[in-house]
Amino acid sequence: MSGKINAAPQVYDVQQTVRRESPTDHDDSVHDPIDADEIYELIRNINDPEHPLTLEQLNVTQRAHIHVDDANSTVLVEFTPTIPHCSMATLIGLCIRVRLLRSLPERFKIDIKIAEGTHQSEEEVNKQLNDKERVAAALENIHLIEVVNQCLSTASA
Amino acid sequence: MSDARLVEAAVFGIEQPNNKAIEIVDDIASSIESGKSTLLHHVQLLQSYLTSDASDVRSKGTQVLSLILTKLSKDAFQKNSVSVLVTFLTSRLSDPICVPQLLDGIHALSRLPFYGTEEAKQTSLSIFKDVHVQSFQQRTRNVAFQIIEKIVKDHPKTLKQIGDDFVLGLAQMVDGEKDPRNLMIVFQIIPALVERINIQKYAEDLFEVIFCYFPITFRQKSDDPFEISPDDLKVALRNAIISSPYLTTQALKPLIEKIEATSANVKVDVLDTVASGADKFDQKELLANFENIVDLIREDIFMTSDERVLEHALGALTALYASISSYKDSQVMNSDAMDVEMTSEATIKQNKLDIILDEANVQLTSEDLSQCDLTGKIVEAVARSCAENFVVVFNEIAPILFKRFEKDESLVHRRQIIVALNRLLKVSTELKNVQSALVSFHDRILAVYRIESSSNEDHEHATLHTSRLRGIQLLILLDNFLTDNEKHLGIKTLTECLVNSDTDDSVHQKVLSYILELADIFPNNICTITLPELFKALKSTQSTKHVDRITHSLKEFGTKKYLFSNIEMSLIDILSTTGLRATSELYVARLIQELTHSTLENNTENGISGSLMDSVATPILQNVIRRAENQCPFELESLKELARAISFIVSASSTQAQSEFIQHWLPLIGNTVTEIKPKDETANISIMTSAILCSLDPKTIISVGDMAGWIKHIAEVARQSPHSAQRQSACEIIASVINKTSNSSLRLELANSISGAPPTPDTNITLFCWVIRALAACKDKIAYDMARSLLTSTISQIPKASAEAIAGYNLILASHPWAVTRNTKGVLKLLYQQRFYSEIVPTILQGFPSASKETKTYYLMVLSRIFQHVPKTILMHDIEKLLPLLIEALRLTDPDLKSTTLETISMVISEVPNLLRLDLTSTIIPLHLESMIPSAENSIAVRCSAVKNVRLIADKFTYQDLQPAMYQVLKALAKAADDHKRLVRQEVVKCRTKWLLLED
Repeated sequence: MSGKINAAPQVYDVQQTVRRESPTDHDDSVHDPIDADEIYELIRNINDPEHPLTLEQLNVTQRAHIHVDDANSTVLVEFTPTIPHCSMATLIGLCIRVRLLRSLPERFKIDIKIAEGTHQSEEEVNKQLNDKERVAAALENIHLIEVVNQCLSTASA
Repeated sequence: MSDARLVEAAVFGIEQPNNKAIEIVDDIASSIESGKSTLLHHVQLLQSYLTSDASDVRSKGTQVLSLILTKLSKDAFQKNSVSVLVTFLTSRLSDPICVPQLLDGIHALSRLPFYGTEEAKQTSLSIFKDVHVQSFQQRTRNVAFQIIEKIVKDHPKTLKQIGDDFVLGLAQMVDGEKDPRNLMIVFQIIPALVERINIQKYAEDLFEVIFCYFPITFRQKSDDPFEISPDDLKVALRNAIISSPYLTTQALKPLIEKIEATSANVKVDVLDTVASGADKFDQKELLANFENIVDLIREDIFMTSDERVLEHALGALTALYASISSYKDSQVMNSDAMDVEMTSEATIKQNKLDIILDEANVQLTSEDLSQCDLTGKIVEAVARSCAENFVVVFNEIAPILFKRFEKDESLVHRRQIIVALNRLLKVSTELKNVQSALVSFHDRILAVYRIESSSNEDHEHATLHTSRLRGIQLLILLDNFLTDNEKHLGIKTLTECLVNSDTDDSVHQKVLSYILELADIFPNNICTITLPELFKALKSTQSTKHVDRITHSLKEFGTKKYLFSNIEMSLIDILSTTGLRATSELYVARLIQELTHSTLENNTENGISGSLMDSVATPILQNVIRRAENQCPFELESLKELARAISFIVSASSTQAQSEFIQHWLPLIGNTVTEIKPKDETANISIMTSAILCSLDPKTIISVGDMAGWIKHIAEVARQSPHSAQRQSACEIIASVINKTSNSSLRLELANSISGAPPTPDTNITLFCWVIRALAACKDKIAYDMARSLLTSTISQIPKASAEAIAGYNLILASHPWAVTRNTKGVLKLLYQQRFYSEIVPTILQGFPSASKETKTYYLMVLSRIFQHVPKTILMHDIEKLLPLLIEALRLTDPDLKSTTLETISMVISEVPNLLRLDLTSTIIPLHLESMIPSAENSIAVRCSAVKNVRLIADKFTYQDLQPAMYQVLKALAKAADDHKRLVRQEVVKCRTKWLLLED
C-alpha cells in the first residue's frame, strides 16, 4: 500500500500556453501590467510534493483563483487542495509563496490562501502561510527549503 | 616449403601473437580452393597432431583444422568429407581440452549444404552427452548455442528423431548461463523449438532454466559491440516464455506473485508478459486464478502513480478478458452438449466480468466519485477485449452513468461521468457489431451530450464542455447510431463552438482537433457546414484574436488535400471584396501564402504548380490590379504576403509555364518597375512584378528586347522613384537579373553599368548594396572590392550615407523572400557568407585601432550586421581578436548594435567562457547590468539578451568566480523584475532563480 495522503489524484488536461503573443509585446512604449495570467504562468508548473504532477494538472491552482492589482501592488492566490484533509496544503502554499517571492518585484504584498471551503483546517493553514515570521522561520529550515526547491525545480524550468 | 612443413609451422605458430600461422592457414585454404591440394591431404598431414598424446599439440592441431574449415568456401567440400569430418570432430568432443576448437570446426561445417539430418543428429547428441557447456568460457558456450540454434532452425527432422531428449539436452546445456549474448540465442532457440516439436515431457525442466531469469535486468555498456539492449533481452525472454502453453501454464503462478513487485520496470515487464501470454495460459488454471490476478492488476491501477504501469495494467486486463472470451468459443465448437456448455460458460464469463462490474458499480455510485476516472479506464479496458464483453459491460455500466448524471448536479461529477461514457463510446467506434447495443439507449445518450451554456471563466465548465464535445464527435463517428440529420446537427454544434469568439482557448483547440478528425470521414459535411461558418465569421468579426483563431482553423483544414482548393478559392474570393478590416485582410493574405507554400511542399504531383497558376496566382493578380484601379488597394504588408504566394508558384513552375505566365503579365504590370508611377497604389504593384521576375528560372527568357536598356530604366526607377516600395522592387529585380546571368563578363558589365565602385555622393547606396549582394552570392571578387570601398569611402567622403551603408551590410547577407535566394533558383555559391566575412572583417580589424571615434562606431555597427549572418564556428575562430571590439560595442548607444553584440557575447559565454574570466566582474557583468535598465538604447531585445546572458554566466562560471558580483547582480535583477515589459520580466524570473540558488 502507498503511504501517500492522496494516492490516486484526479489528473486534469493542461494548456500549452496561457497567453498568446500580442502585437504590443515588442512595443516598448506600452506598459504590460502584471496580471493573473502572468502569475498563473509562474505557479502552474510547481510540482506537487507527493506526485510527479504539476499543480495545474491536479487543478490545485487555477487561473480564475488569482487576483492581482498591479497598481496597488497586491497579489492574492487561492489554491484548492486535492482532498479536504490534505496535510501537504501548507507545503504547497509555502511553495507558491517562495516562487512568487523569488519572481515578483519587491513592492508586491503577496497573500496565499486556501480556496474557501476546500480544506478542513483552512483557517489555521491560511494563518501559517501569511505569517511573515513563521514563513521566514520555515525558510531557514534547510530540509524544508530543499523540499521547496525540489517542488519549484519544474516551475523554473 | 612443403605442405608438411607448412602444416607444422601453422600448428606450432598458432598461439604466437604474430599472424604468421593465420597467413599459412590462408595459404593452405587457397591452395585447396584452387585445386592444387585437397582437404583430405591436409587432414592426413594433421593426423599426428590431432591424435597426439600431448594435449596442447592435440588442441593446436584441432585449432588449425577448424581454422582451415572456417576459411574454406562451401564448394571446397564434398558430401562424404563433411560426414567424415563431423564424425571425427564429434567423436572427440569428450576431450575437454580440444572442445573449443572442435566446436569451431563443427560450427564451420554446420553452415554447409552437405551438413544433413544425420550430421545434425550426431552433433546434437554428442554436445548434449559429452560437453559440459557451462564449464567453458563465454566464446565456446556461444559457439555451442549457435550450433544448436542452426540445428533447431534448419534440421526439423533431426529434432523429431531426437525428440524429448533434445529438449532435456538443451535445458541442461542452458542451466546456469549468465552471459546476455548467449541468453539472447537461447531465448530465440526456444520459440523455434516449440514450433517444431512437442516439448511437453521436459517442459518443466526447460521452464525452470529460463523462467529463473524473469524479470531480466541487465545494464548495457555504452561500448557494447553486440548492441544487445535490455529491452531486446526482455522481449526475447518474454517470447520464449509465451511460446508454448506448456511454459505459460507454469508461468502463471510465479507471474501472479511478481505483479506485486515494487519496481515499476518489473511491474511493466510482468504485466506485458501476462498480456502477451493471456491466450496461452491453461484456461482452467487461468479461470481458477482469474479473480486473484484481476484484483492485483486493479490494485496496481488504483495505487500507481506511474503512467507506464497504468497503461500496461490496462493492456493486461484487456488481454485477459479477451482470452476468456476466445476460450468459450473454442469449447462450444468442440462440445457435444452445446446448450449445457453454453450455459455454464456464459455463467463463468459473466462471473468474471462481475469482478469488474460490481466494483465499478460501487465506485460509480459512491458519493464523491473519487475513483471515477480510473474506474472508467478499467471498464474501458474490459469492454475493449471483445464485442461480446463490450455489450455486457455497456448494458451494465451505461444505465448507472445515466442515472448518476440525471441526479448529480456537481460539475466535476458530471464531467467525470461524461468522460467515462466517452471511453465506452470510443471503444464502440473501434469494435465491429456493437453499435446495436447502444441503440436502445439512444435518447438517454443524447440527453447527456446536450450542450448547456457555459461560463468561460470557469476551468471546470470548460473541461465539462470539452468532454461533451468529444462525446458528440464520437457519436458522429459511430456507424448507424445517429441519423443523417442528427449528424448534421452534431457537426453544427461543434462548428458553432469552433466559430464562437467566446469559446475558451483550451476548448477551441480541442474542438478543432475533433472536427479535423471528422473531416477525414465527412469532408462534404465540413465543406457545407463548417467552412461557410468560418468564412462568415471571418468577414464579420472585429476582433483580431478571433481572426487569428479563424485563420488558424482554416489553415489546419487547408492542409487536408480535399479541402485545400475550396478554402483557397473562398479566401481569394473574400479578398476580391472590400470592406474587410485591414488586419483581417493581412491574416487572409498570409493564410493564402502559407497554404500555397504547404501545398507545394507536400504535393509532388506534376502539374500542381500549373494548376495553382490558374487558380491562385492569376486571380490574386487580377484582384490586386482591380483594387488598385478602384482606389481601394491592398495594404503593403498584405501585398507582400500575396507576392510571396505568387513567388512560390512561379518558382515551382516549369520554364515554359513561366514564359507563358510572364508573356501574359509583363505587358500588364511590367511598367510598374520601368516607369515612375505618380500614385502609391500603382507603384506598390511593383512588389508583385518583383516577386514574379525574381522567381524565374535562370533559363527563362524575359522577352524585353534590349535587356541592358530595360535594366537601365529599372535602375532609374530605383534611384528616382518617390515610392519606397517601387525603389525596393526595382533593386530586387536588378540584383536578381545580375545574379542569374551565367556569363561572368556579361554579369560584370551589367553590374558596372548600374553602379561603379567606389561610391560617390551621387551613388544610390541601397542599389549599390543590392548589386554587391548579387555578386557576392556568386563569390565574384568585384563584390568584395565594392564592399571594401563602401566601408572606407562612405564614412570619410559621404558621412550622410553611412546609416544607409550600415543597413546595406545587412541587406547583402540577409535572407529575402524572393530576390537572390535559393528558393527562387538564385545563384548562391557554397559558403558565400563566410567568404564575405573573411574578405571584409580583416579590413575592419586592421583599421579599427587607428580609426576616429565616429569611424569606430561605424565599424562596430557594420560588424554587428555581418555577425548576424555568419555561423558561430566562424566567429569563434576569430573571437580573441573580436572580443575587445565587442566590449567596446556594449558601451555604445545603438540598440540594434547592442542587441547583436549581446547575442555574440552569449556565444562566447557558452563556447569559450575562459576568455571572459579576467574581465568578468570588473567589466562584463557591470556592462550587462547596465543594459538591463530600460532606456532608448536598451530596447526590449537588449534587456532580454542582457538578462539571458547573466543567466548563462551563472551556468558557466564557478561560485568563486561569481561571488564578488553576487550582491550587485541580485540587486539589479530585483529592480529588473519590475520592468514594464512582460517579456523582460519572464527572463528575469529565470535568471533570478538561477542566481538565488547558486551554491558554493
